[in-house]
Amino acid sequence: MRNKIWLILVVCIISGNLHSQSGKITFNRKVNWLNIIKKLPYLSQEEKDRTMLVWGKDTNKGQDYILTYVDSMSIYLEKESDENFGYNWSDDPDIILRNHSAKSTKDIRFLLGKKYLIEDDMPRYKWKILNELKDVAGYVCMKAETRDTVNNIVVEAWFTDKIPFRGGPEGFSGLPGMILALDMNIDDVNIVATKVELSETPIVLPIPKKMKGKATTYQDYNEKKMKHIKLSVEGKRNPYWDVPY
Amino acid sequence: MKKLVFLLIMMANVSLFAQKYNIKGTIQDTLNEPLIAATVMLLDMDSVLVEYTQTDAKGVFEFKGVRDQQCIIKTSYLGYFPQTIPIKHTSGNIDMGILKMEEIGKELMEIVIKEAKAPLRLRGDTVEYDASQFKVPEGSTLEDLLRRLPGLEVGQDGSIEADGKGVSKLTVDGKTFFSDDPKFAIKNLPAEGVSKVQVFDKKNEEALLTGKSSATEEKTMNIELKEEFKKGGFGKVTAGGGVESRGELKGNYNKFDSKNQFSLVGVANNTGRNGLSWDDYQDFMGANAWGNNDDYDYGFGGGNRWFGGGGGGSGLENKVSQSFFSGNNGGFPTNILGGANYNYDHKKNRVASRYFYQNTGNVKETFSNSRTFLPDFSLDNGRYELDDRKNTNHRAEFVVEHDIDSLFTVIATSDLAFVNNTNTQSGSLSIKRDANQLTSTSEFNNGSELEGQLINASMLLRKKFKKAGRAIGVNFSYLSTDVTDNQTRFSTNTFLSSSGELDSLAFLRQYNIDDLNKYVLKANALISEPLSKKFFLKVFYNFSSRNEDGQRIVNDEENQNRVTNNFLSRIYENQIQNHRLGTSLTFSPKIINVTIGAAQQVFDLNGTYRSPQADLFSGKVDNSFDVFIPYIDINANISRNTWMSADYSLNVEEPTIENLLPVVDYTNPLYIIEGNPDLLPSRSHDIGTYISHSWPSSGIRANLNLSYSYFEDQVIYKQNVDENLVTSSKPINYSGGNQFWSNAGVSFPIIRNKLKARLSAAYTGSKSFALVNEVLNTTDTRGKRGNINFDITPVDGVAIYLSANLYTSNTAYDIDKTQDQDIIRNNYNVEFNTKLGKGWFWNSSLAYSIFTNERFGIAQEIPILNMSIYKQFLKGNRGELRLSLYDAFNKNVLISQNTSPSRVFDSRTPSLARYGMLSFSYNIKGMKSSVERNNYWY
Repeated sequence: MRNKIWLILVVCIISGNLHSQSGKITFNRKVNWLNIIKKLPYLSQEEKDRTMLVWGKDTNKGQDYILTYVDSMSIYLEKESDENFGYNWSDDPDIILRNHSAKSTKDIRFLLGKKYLIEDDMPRYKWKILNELKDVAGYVCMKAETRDTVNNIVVEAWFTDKIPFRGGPEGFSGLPGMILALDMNIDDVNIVATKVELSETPIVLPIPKKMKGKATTYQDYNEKKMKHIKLSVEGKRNPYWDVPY
Repeated sequence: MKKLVFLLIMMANVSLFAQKYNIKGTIQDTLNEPLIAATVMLLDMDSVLVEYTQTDAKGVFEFKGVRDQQCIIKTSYLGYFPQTIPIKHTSGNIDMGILKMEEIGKELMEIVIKEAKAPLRLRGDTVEYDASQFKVPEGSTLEDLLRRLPGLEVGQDGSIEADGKGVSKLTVDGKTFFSDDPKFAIKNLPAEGVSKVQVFDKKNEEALLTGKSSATEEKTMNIELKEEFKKGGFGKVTAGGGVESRGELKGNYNKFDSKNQFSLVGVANNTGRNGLSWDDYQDFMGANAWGNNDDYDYGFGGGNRWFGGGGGGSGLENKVSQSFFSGNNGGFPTNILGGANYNYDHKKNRVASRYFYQNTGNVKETFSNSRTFLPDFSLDNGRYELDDRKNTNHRAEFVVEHDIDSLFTVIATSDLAFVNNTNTQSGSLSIKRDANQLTSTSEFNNGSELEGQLINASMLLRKKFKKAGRAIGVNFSYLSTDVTDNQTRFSTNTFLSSSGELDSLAFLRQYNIDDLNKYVLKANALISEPLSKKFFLKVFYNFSSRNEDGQRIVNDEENQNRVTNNFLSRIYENQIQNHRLGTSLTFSPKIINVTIGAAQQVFDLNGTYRSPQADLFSGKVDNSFDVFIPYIDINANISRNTWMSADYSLNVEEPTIENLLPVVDYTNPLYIIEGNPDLLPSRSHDIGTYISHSWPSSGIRANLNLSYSYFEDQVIYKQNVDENLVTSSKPINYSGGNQFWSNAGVSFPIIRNKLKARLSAAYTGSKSFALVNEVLNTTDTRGKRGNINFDITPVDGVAIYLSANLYTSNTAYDIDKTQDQDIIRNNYNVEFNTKLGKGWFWNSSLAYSIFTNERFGIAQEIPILNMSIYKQFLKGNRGELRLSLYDAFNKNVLISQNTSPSRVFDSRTPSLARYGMLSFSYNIKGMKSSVERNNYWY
């Protein structure tokens, strides 16, 4: 009997969540330069060890991003820092604006100094569902993975069906629930939800008024990025100094 | 459940035609209650997600129009183990019936998932998790960790049971750890190093043969260690010998893990280079190589000073880090260097400690000429000098940092140093009037034995607050040095009359003792406070007090006895105090940051000096200056690839003690220096701008720098040359001098990754003054520099580097236009490196330098050709045998040319030239071939 009451309670909470139409999720995105450098094919073992020795102490706190969604729309933006200590640099951020019912994008992406406006179909990901569970920001998440053909790596996503919005950070989507964590190439880049605020009342998406850039498609954007990565590695230079991971 | 799946598969018939069908089922818990809103996924046979749905209020789900003939149904529900069920379609719709989901054990759910936040991996019926996520107290053993893991039982005797079965074997990273006995391992392995704990069924021989897993009673445990816990280390030794008794020996080694870093370096050679590189510096200093040298002198700027120190000719106040970056001084140097470094960094405590020993020697000859212009004649000074020096020093540095909490840090440092320098200089000089009339000659033999000690201690407190950006920093430091220099000054000076006959002779035989004790106290404080998101305030205060007491006792040798020369000897005490109180406000709207600041600085200079015979002469310096210092800095990140900055600052420098003391220095009887107690601090108004832009998609970078300084009360020298051509010089203040510097550069690929060009050009100028025999001489110098580089890497294993550096300087003297000088210094370099195959490599470089000064009749061309061939061998290219030829044309000589107000100077120092060497290197991590230049920017 006691179990039944507990079950009803859970059902109530879950069904309550089901009605939530909007939410704001804070993600921390951390690029682990050392792990990227350790995988560069043109460095000798001694150079990798030296990098570990000198730069091994990890003080990188990462950068916060916020994913806001209402109904089928979502926007993913860099969180404005409140710790600028008297220095404020250019803030012309990448914008990932998605319409999940029309499956379309209206993204602003920077690549090699150029600003692109990508109005395109939402990228489709081939997700493989795996047998692992983990808690992220208080939600039990299931693991899925997909192949990122641009960086040529495996991306692992942790999603929860308890947040029914089928999106995630960096424009990743298509799983039966919200993606709360992404691990790119295991530990090159880790994105983890740190705060989940769900609401039943619709909130206004922080869509910038001006969204201008050179029009392009994801296919073209990805080709440019892949070409740069290939050239950089050939030229023995870390590609991710110039392009985002 | 397994039976159900089995039945489903058994009942299935083979279908010839792919047809659409429906799958439905009901999900219940083990108490037969329906699970509502459980997620159900339809996966293909590679587990790729095809479609998903949720169960309704009765726990029922349904997929309609499924195409895949084989697929997987996966269910998920909070707090329950996901279910994975393969489906094979034969005909018709499939009803999976009731699927029971099992609750995740409370222990696993609460401890593994919720508390440890460890991923729970499900493999069939077994569950694995990441043990590194479990928190155990520092210093815990693996045994303590295992006791915390759900599903494991550790007995009093250390025996382990997993799921009720005994663990009989334990491996670390799949390898046996000293003993197979798990009891031994779990007591000896630290818990912090463990990343994963895996438990497997120990298969018996039959199972291994048949592949059929029988129900075994025993299990194997494997411990995976964390990557950073696997110890790192690298090391290299090189030994070489060559013709002309040239030899080199070099070794370095280091070992590190996540907490400790230990390194050793040692070098002995007589090849003219100290043999240490940036890599060696980083290998030695480890995590403290960069950015750990806090700038304790708080001020307007935010930048860190990497290499502080300096501190006079004895090098006493140098830091260990400077030992790695000594320049080329020509001559025939020998080096013996060695050091040890230990860094510790764990949680709240950080320690850095290092010791360095240096024993360097250099023997060099220098031939120099200088011409000084006087209002109505010129003086040519020709000098030959043989300089032999030996320096020995020991240095130790310690830094201890402790975090009292996450916002409060204390740092204490201490440095110790001992130096011992011996030096002899012998040679001759001659002075000619108007380039042909010999007026005096001198033969000299000077010696110096210097000993010095240093103690430097500091303490820093850094407190941050919850409000980001609010901080207080306070630091104190004490520096004490003690230097004693025993000098001998022997010279024979001949003065000739205008007709060329001997006019007079002067013999100088002095034994001098120079003693200087110095101590410096410093205190600095900084408060920073963000006033709003856009305004940031800093207030700082700096105090320093430099106290010196010293004496210089000059003893003349008279009839084999030493008699103190009270005219030339002096005893002095000085105190220079400096207070600065300043503030700055930074305004940071978007893109741009503007800092405006101001400070008031007070200098207090006190000094007394006297002869050992006090009534002969004595004096006092008691000056105080008050200076207002403005500061402006603007920087902007105009776009993602455009940066610009502009700043104005006023730099004030107090006069040096040597220049302030009104004591006459007759050390060189032909060049007498006198101090000036009326000197004021010199002020330099500095303006600089910088702009850079890059086009990352095409790999182009460009930058432009401009800077201008205007000097007020600059220290210049007032010189008087008497009829015997004896120069006496005295520092005075003079305003109006200036200096500018401009530089533009661009680098771009011509063929991506194959051919790259870098071009830069600079234009510099300065206006400076000298007062000679009461006539002001204004000197204008203009310099032009052009730089062209090509990096050519056509195919892997071939690299060619071409460069040309062209420099012309033009100096104009307003009192004597006929002495205007054009100095040309051009360098052309070609470097060619290639891989020859089968482990053989070739490196070669040609540096061709041209020095020209038409007025002095100098036209010198120096080609330096170096080449080496080497072979890498042994497993992993650990060994390298190298045959090198340095300076194949035997032309090496160090040339220096410069012009200063009313003076032109040039010198030539013969240096170590052609030699060949055969060397062997062994690197425990494998040698890196050096075809392409080292790219330090990984």
